[in-house]
Amino acid sequence: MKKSYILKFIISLLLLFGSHLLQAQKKQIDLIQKDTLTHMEQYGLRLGVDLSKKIIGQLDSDFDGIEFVADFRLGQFLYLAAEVGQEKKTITEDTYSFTPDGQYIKIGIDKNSYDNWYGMNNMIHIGGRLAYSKYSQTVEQYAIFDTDRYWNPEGFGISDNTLPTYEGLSAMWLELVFGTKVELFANIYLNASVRGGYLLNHNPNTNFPNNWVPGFNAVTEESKFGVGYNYSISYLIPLFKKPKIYKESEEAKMKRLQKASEVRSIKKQEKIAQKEGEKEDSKNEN
Amino acid sequence: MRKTILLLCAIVSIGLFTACEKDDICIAGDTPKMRISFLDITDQSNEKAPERLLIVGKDMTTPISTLSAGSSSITEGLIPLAPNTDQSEFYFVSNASITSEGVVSGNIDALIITYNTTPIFISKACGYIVNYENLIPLLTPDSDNWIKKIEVITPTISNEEELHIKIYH
Repeated sequence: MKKSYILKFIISLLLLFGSHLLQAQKKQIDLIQKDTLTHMEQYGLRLGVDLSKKIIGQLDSDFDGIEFVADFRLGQFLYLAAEVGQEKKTITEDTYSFTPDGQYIKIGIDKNSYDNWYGMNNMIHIGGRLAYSKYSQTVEQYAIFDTDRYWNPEGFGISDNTLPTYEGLSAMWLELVFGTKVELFANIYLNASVRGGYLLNHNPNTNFPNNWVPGFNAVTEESKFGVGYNYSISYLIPLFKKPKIYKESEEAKMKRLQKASEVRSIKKQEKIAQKEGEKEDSKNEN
Repeated sequence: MRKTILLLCAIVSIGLFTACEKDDICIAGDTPKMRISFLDITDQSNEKAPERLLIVGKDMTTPISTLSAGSSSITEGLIPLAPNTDQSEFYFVSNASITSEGVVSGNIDALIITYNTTPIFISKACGYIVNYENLIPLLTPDSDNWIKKIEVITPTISNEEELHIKIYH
């Protein structure tokens, strides 16, 4: 009798451990545990002013301009960006000089393609803008082009007449932006960008072309392309923080997917087993 | 280190994009000159060349270069007007002779041509040319005018093919 009790005890003990072993096989040990520490990144509104225009304005009496820049961080890589400016430039060609004067606004997005290290907040970005300018053009002085130099042997004769200012001109263009933003001190950024413009439309002037559009810069004859740059300093107004989303490596991604599929198959098997068990139960009841 | 590289990239790219220059050759147009013809006052349909004609602008030291000075066979020709003012004054000299000191003698008739100019923008390289409008020639009367009559055919100078003024003598 006693022996049989001992045997029963051992058998039940073995079964207990066995079932535990079965359980343990289902639950795998996670070897690639996720880093639970989140890096918070600063989000906010960045406001700044263009330095190059102010400096050029100081050095060159023919130029006067100012540009304000702003961007707002939308997501991990995406920024809403805008520039607003005013420019006035007197351009002297061989036989005439003219002054375009006006305001412009550029609105678009920037995408940061630079993966910052912990604590850094720099950008190398590409972006696009839709830009609009409203301006006027004044022909300051003009000489008459005349290949017969009888009356003006020294050069072209400057006209006694004045031309009216061409008011209410406008232009619209697209801009491709490539630039960087570097944090110099806490929340202070130095920004530089180069821009390629594509002119969508501009008012054809009755008797004077749009050789220069504020914000777009020089307009080349029979071409819709233009180039520009900006060089600005800005301050980030910190508004809120969001955790940084880390990019997954290929290996990690594969492992994660594999694990997910394994979990799924196990769950499936469990479900099937459960269903069969229920069936058997119902049969037994019947 | 990374910061300096970023800055350097920015500065270099700015330099690259601002160093472009325009090209400056004007081939698109020119200010037109005035076409005149000389006719016989007695037979007004007949062309007649003045004797040894020389045309010189007021205050100018050389005769106009579009007509050969002192020629006796000019019945038609182009005369440059001053494009940056509203009038041009010429001395039409017949039977002209120039001394070795450069003094012109002959029958000198002073002709003042007044007009309005219309600036027309041609291209970025050329800039403006003018067309002349409302041509009014005025002969200064003297004791012995060799020019008898002046007739305006086309009061607007927009090309050099049309005849603008007929001079009868």
